[in-house]
Amino acid sequence: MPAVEVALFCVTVALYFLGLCLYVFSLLFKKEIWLRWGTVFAGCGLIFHTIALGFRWYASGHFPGNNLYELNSMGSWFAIFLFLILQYEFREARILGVVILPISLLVMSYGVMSAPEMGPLLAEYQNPWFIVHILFAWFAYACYVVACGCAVFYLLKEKYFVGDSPESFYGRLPSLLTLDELSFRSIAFGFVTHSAMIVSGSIWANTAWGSYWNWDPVETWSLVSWLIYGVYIHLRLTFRWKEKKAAWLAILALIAVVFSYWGVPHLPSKSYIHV
Amino acid sequence: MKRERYSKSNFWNLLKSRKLAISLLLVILIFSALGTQIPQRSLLTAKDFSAWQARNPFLSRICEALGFTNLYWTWWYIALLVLLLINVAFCTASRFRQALRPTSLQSRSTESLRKFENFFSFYTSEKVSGTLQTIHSLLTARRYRVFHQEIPGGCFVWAEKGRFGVWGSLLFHFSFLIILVGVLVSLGTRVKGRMAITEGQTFTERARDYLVLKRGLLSTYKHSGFQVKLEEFRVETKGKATEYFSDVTVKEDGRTITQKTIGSNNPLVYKGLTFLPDIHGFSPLLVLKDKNGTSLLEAYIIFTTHFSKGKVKYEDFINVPGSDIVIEGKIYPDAIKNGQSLRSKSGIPRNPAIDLIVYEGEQRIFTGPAMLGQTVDFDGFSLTFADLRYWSSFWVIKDEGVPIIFVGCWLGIIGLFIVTTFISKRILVRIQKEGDSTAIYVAGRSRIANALFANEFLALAQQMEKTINNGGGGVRACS
Repeated sequence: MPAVEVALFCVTVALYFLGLCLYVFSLLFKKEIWLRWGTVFAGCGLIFHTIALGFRWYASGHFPGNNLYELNSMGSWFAIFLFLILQYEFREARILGVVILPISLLVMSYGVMSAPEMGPLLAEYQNPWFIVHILFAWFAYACYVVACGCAVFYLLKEKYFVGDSPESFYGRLPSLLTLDELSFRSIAFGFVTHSAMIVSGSIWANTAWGSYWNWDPVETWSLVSWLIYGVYIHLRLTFRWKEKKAAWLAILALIAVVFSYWGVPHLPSKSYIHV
Repeated sequence: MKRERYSKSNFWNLLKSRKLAISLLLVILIFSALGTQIPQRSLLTAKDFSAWQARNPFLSRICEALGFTNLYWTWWYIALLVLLLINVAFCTASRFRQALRPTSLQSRSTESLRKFENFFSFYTSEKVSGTLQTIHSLLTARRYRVFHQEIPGGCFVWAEKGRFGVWGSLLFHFSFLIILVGVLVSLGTRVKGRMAITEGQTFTERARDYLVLKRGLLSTYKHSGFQVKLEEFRVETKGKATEYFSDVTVKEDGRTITQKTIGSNNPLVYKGLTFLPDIHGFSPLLVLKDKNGTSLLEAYIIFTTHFSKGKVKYEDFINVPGSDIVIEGKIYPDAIKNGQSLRSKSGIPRNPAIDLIVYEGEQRIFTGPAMLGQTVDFDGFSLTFADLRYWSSFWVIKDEGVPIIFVGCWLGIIGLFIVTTFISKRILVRIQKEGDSTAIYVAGRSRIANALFANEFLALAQQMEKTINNGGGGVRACS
């Protein structure tokens, strides 16, 4: 990694970390102003993150999607971008930083520890559909993380908030109705982008390997997680599964997504052609 | 007769049941996930699959018996998919009827409105007609389609927007049927072959020139007979990434039609056939002569490329035509001596050598290496390793189902986009005279975003109350 990129990466991580500390302190010490500063730091971190990714793109000459460092950095960027955008519509969503920022930091750290070297884009990746596939994938995953964060807060608030202390930890979380709906809307949007991810991946596979679907474990797990979210949406809209049940399902569904990204390469069958 | 009709309607209800859809989705996702845990024949080489069987004799026998080693192609898995699609088709038909059905204009009682998730009521001294005008204008200003009807002692208002969203859901479900048609066309008419060409040689597009050729049962494809010549195969290394390119010329009746460099993500498409790169290897030119100098063999032989435990081997054997001589060989493209044996430093043919074993009948008559250009003599025969060229293999595919499948996929995504963008919202207002004043009961529902709608609903209802009680000032009268 060039020194400039290392510096940009460190500044980004530091800003996200400061933002996270402020979010946590705000919750613990009930200081509204720290919540606002948490968002400011997360926003500044995103600016440096964007510059770091832009630098990577410029220096490597290709879209940053070549290795785990680039993929994870892109994924974290999407999660934080989505989180900041969400705050425009739901001011109360700021508190989700307590979930989004540590997950993003973990994902970035995992990437930087695995393979941060810059290299030429692998031949299989040299396809515009690959870029579309990656962008939609990260957008979908970012939405699912936000949905899971809302679901976790929903369950916590539902269990521990007694209703008479609006200044307490749980009282400061968004209302149960908002958390429930935010979780659902994130999943609905994630489902659209997840579908686009599968379709663009399929087009890419058709160009690269001459087959739009191979039942490769990575593909299949992507389909499995898509089906799980499909079931969630049907249960919600048709059978009125809401609130607690929907929250648990949103958390379980994210486990399937995490498995499809990190778990599948460790499967015993090892029968995949996915790069 | 009655019972028969009843059971028929039960059957149709089951087919369009959403409970069936959920159950099928769950079963399919469980089996799909299971298929990723068990080695699949279609995804592993025969050697790797046998190795798994040897390691897990009991488990593999059970999995084989249940069809789990070819799970995605078992009759029952396909049956589950077909059942899901039938269910989707019936659901789509039912949704289509719903989408076409005009908005229900049935008035609701106050008690019924109170049961809505969003409910608001207030009183005014304004008359029913004036109140109706104000409400009508407010709703129209917010882009609701408004209908109203007189009821005893007042009137009832229906307002809705985002009804277009219903079509999104319909389109999404309909897209599955298009995808199914695409998959059926693909399975029925797909032509998939594999062929290999040595540099400088030509492949003719006819059945016998393919190494493997599979055709769908309904395929009517006729071979075109054009020729593809592999001019050169190139290996380019950039850092850790290695790229492979095949420069080919397409010819028809001796005329050059086009030239193309085939690489990863860059296939050749000609006459509906797509040529995709597969693997490559080496073709040595072996010349075998007997003691009279008669040439028994002089040809480029395609040596099979084997991948095993991250290593690549190029080895094969040749039955020399018209004799009982068998030549077994192993190529080292960048050979160096490793004690008595050879090994290759890289896959680039910088210093090619071939390790040979020659049999005459059952008897081994020669064992030893030959460098490029070297001739070895044994038992009155001479064998020359005269040249080494690359060969490259290609998948040749014609699939008419693919465009249909992708059209279906994109329609599905457009459908989902419509569903999430055009959110159907409905507001019902009951205006009725109660004593000296007029009571207004407002109820609202949104199918998807209820919390967001709750805020919108409350703001609208409060605006209604404020505007009506201020005498409808600033609100234009409805037409």
